[in-house]
Amino acid sequence: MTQPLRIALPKGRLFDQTLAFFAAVLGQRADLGRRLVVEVDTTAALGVATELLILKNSDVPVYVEHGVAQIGVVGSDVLDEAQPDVLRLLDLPFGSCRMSVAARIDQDAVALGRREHLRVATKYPATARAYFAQLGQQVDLVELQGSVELGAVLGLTDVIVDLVESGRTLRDNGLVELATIAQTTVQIIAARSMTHTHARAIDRLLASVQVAP
Amino acid sequence: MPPNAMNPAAASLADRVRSRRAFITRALSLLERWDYPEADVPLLAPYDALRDAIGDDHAGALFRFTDREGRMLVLRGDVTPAVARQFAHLARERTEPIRLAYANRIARIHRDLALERTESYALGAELWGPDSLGADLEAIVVCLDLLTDAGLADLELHVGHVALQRLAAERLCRPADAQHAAHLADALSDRNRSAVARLSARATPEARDALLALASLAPGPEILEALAHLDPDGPLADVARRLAETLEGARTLADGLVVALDPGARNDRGYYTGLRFRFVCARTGETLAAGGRYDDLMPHFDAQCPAVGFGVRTEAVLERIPLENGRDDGARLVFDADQDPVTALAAARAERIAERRVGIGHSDRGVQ
Repeated sequence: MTQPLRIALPKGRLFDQTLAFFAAVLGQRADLGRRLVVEVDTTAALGVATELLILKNSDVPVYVEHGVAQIGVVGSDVLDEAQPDVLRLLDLPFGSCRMSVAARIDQDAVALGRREHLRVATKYPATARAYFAQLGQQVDLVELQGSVELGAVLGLTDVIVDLVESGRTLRDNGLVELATIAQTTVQIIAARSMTHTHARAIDRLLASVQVAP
Repeated sequence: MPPNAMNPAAASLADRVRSRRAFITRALSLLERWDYPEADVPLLAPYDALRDAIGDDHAGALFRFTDREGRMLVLRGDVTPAVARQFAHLARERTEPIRLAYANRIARIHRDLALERTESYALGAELWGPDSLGADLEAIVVCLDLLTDAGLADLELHVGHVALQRLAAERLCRPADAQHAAHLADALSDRNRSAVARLSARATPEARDALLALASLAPGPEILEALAHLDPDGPLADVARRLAETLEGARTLADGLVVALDPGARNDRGYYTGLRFRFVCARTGETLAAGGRYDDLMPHFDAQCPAVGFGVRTEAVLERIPLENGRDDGARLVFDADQDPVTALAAARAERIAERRVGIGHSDRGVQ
């Protein structure tokens, strides 16, 4: 018998919107509590039961790439950074951001752009390295796990590379965007190898996603 | 009896080794009955020859080193190109189809432990010569026979063609711009409906519908008819029709199995050119065996012949067949070597020569 369809959902900034979205698509709201694996009876709608896995954002592609979850929801920023071997099925209509370079407002942006060597704080080292390599600028990368803005604010680094949604956090901390590296979207990803039953269930799910208001 | 006489840790390890050996022996015997004799694949091969055949990216997954003369060598990592290089002379010398089987340990650099391991056993078969529906179906049915003979029943067969997405993008894309078509082919490969919808915006409604259907995970077989209809005299129709025939033939041969079109089949080894097929576990979706057509590989080794073959993911199969296939029942005569080792070992040897199993007991391992 085919295992339940496992959907990996990210905790953090995307969680509430993602959950609301799947509640609308699946036609029922999951009773989460504090559980990390939640069963949802979707047999009638999808032909197979569903399990929602509640994971850290960056772990979503890991579970999907290894085939433990058949699909997942994750930002393209995470995918571009980790380059997992997964299918990118669909952009979701929420959670778009931009990956930007920012510096203190009192920094000379032109001078920074001409510098041969920069110190960069970021949670996205591969993305930052590729961007500055393309510009011909050498960089020392300082990997931070949170409050990346402080790297530039306190002078640890010259600039930061981080995800920007509205830009308010940057402004509130005296930072300004210098360049946009990429627009990011929230995507539904899928494993490359899965059963035909799971594949058909995902097709049904995505058909309802596309018609959802 | 000394406490270590039964050697339980070694027995557990031996169970696994014995199971693998039993599976491989049985599989090679089955392949021989299909007229696929076992070939001995060399452990080392010149790097340059394989790189030219499979490309830099895939050659990068092979372990490389240099010999005393400074020649770059690779460790056996993907058996198909190694077999092709070693036995291409057979294809040059003979006109009849050539069939070969192999079972070897391989080593490959991998980032993804879930899909394949750094070190594993490659078991497979190759058929050189015919470029026909019959040859494609032979590879599928021999592979199926091997898996079912091992005791696997809960299987699905996924069948695709590595050129389907590229041809659909090139033949149905408007404007017919190479870069645009390449982006569309990538989007189809990713099954990215958002990107396919965007990139096919200027295609005819019929072509756009077909492209969006091709971007789904489980399109029905009618998509092949639609693609053939949209490019009636072109290469897309040829591929779609051949794929439809392969699916139909496989459904008849794989009686009762789910046989599904795999629209995302890809050239993930650098040498596949046409048919791709995978047998997956119907419960988990894990790939257990895969194969396909690689018509452009043999010419790299000066043999002008099309080819098709398959490989089994031995470890994934072994996880699904009962260990009892090769289990050691533990029964043996035990000789205590602590008191009089010479007598004990002589007696043990005599029993062993009489075809009985023996165990030698020692009071400790001599390790403090």
